[in-house]
Amino acid sequence: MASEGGTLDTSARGEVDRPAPAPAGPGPDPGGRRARDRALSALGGLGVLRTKHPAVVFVLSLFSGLVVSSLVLVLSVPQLRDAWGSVFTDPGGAFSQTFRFLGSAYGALLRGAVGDPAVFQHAFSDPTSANWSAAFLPLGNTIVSSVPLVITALGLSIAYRSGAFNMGGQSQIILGAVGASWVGFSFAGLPWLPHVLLAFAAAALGGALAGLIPGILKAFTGASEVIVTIMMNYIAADFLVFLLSGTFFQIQGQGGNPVGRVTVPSATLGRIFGAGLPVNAGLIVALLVIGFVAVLLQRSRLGFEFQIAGASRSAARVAGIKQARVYIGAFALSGAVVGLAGGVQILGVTQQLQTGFGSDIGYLAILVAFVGNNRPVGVALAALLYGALQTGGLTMQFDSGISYQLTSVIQALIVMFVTAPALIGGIFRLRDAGAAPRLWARRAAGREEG
Amino acid sequence: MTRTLLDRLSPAGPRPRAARPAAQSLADRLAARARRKASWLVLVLGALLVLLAANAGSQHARLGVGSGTGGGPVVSGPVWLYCGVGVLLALAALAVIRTADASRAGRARVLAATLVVLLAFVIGLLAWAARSGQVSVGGVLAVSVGGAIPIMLGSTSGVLSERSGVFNIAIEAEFLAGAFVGALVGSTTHSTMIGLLSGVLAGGLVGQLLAVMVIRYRVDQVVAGIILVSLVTGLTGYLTEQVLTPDSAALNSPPTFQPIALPLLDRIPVVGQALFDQSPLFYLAILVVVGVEVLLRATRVGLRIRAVGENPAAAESSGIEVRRLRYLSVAGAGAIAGAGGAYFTVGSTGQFVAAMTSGLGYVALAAVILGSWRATQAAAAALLFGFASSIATTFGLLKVSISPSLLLMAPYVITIVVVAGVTVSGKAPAAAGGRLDD
Repeated sequence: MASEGGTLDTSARGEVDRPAPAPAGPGPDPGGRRARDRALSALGGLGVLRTKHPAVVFVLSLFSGLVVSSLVLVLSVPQLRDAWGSVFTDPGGAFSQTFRFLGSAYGALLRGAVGDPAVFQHAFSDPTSANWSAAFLPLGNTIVSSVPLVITALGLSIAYRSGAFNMGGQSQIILGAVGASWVGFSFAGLPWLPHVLLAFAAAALGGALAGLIPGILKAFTGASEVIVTIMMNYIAADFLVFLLSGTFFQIQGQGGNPVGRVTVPSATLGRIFGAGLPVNAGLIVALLVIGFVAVLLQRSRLGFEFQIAGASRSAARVAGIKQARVYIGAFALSGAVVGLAGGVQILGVTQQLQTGFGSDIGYLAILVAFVGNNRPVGVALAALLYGALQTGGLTMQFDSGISYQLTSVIQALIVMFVTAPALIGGIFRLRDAGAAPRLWARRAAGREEG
Repeated sequence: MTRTLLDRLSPAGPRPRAARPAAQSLADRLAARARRKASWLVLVLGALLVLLAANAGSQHARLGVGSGTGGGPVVSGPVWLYCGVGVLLALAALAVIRTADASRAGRARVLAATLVVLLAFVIGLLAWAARSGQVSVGGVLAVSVGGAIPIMLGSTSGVLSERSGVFNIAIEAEFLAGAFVGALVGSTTHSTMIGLLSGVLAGGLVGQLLAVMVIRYRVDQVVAGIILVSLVTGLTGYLTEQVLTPDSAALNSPPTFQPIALPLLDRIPVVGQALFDQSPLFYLAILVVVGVEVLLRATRVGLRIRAVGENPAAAESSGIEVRRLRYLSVAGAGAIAGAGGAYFTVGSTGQFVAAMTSGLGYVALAAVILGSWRATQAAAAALLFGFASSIATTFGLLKVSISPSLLLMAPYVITIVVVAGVTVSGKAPAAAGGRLDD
């Protein structure tokens, strides 16, 4: 694996191409000067649109991702390929057909992710609760698929901010889910709250165990955590199949059917916006996790130490921070938080283990953490977007016959553009923003929220 | 380290530790560490052999040692005999390892002793698995070598790219691209050759994309690799479902390479079928491995590539075009991995399935580490992983009472053990990983 110095020693080499710091904002000067500055900065507010401000880069990345995936779409749908084959004889037809097709596909994506205007209108004209539920159903679905994403991605970003590449989201979700499921179908007599808390504790413990293995190996042997965590994903997936083929976890009387036992009602997360909307109490868990990670990273001593170690090994050494402790602690915490996502899925959505559990969330969450720049709020927004793509993709497949998998292409393209701001800057001729934070937290963590 | 029985048993006699100079050279320390790790490995393998012998001691196992799957002479004996021989070999190897010094010959002795014990362990394991039954050692080896072909090409790709200073975690993506395009083009042209070539091109394109991301746009190397893997996984998954599956007969059923037997050589007992009656891609892999090794170690370009990987600033100032060499190396590495990807479709099963490479691209990275960033050693390591990844197939045939899902873990578990046990700092190209700033 790459030399440890190369992968993690971030002290010197990341600085070279960093843009010059912004000129100081309007100072505390008296009177008219301040007013003029304010007017100038209001004008400058428009100028921000042409800089590599993270929000600008993000919007343009979304746009570019959709454009490139449209190209893929055009190439992969036979009728569009035929239309473009005759572009010299019938150019209008090619364009109109393409736009009609793209419109219907992305329209379905939007309808499935956010909502159908027609259904909203119907709900306004006939405001019954069933109609409102139908109108908000797509948004509810989006939230349901965003909740595990945001929890997992925030868990991963704890590790990323500490300079540890945790790619093992899937393994930690699986072990978390195994813990939650075990508690969930076992202690039938417990009342609701203690049972759910116990299940989440088991989920965190499972995730932490899965995270500790790469953390300890990294700390004591220097094993590349990238490879170890990816291998852990495959091992955990096989381990899950193994568990489900045994009699303890498998649902009773199903023969060889690899499906886990169902959690008892006292351990399920109920729906919080009425029976018509699928949003469950996992949303509350996600909000708590956002708060926890924000406090951990921005207000706590432990998080500060993690980030120092992630930003610069030598600074950490000078400050007396033990690198091994950081690796183990960051991986354990990261794994525990990711494990909660497994718990939320088990207790709130699937209610039982099944083969292939967590594979999509585990990998998608890595991209979400990258897009969200490892910041709690950014990650939450990115998770909403990616969750929306997940749910919208299903509607798109249903309505216009485009495979659901197209969304994973869009998701990968977006993150590719987001992590290469220089690329977006080159395409759209953007200037360097004054203090545009680099999208790599572990490199930039030293200049926290500058 | 304390003086042990083995120290006293060794021909050179107990080494005068007190007389040693206080400051050892780096080579000495690295050699000492390698010795320590090799002894641990040998100890563990020996202990496992004892366990296997205890588990199925008196049952008889018949091992076929002919050249192929059928026929040939059969060796029969109780399991404890095979394992006992292995244990004895392990003890002898321990003695050899402890007495080896830091010279080239000493290091070669350590390596040879370890390999012998590894082979003895494999035979003991097979004997245990085949208790009260029969297994053809040649057949198992042939399956292992077949499974190792993509890992060999992947590890060679990793060596080339990392020697130039770019950590290539996108091997998995290059595999998938090569497999997908190989299947698609192979099916439409009905030609294995064109399928393979287009797979190579596809892998090279992914490599080029990685190079652009990390060299031109300075995305973190690990991040860029992970993103490329998800992009190619998504793209091939989408195209498979949208384009290939509706017309599977015409678009996803490529012809496959048939094994080519080299006359006479394929009759060699035990290894004949494994090494000389293989898919043409195996011979191609050997050529590529040797080619990359020669390129890196014996040519001027190779020296420059290594310089770029170790110290880009110094290379730049001596007039080497760092970026150009890196582009070429990473794209070339992608092309090699693309050939490995084509193995999955036109080389073996003939049909592309989404995410069919199942993490072997990362396993190849572990082979790079185990092979100390040298193409030939990494290829040898790939053979070990090939055995691990075919162990599920083999044991499945032998009806060993281990759950198949546990056996499927074998290559991944071994990868973790290797990555944790073999990482030697100071061997990786110094500039690989992180961001490029030159």
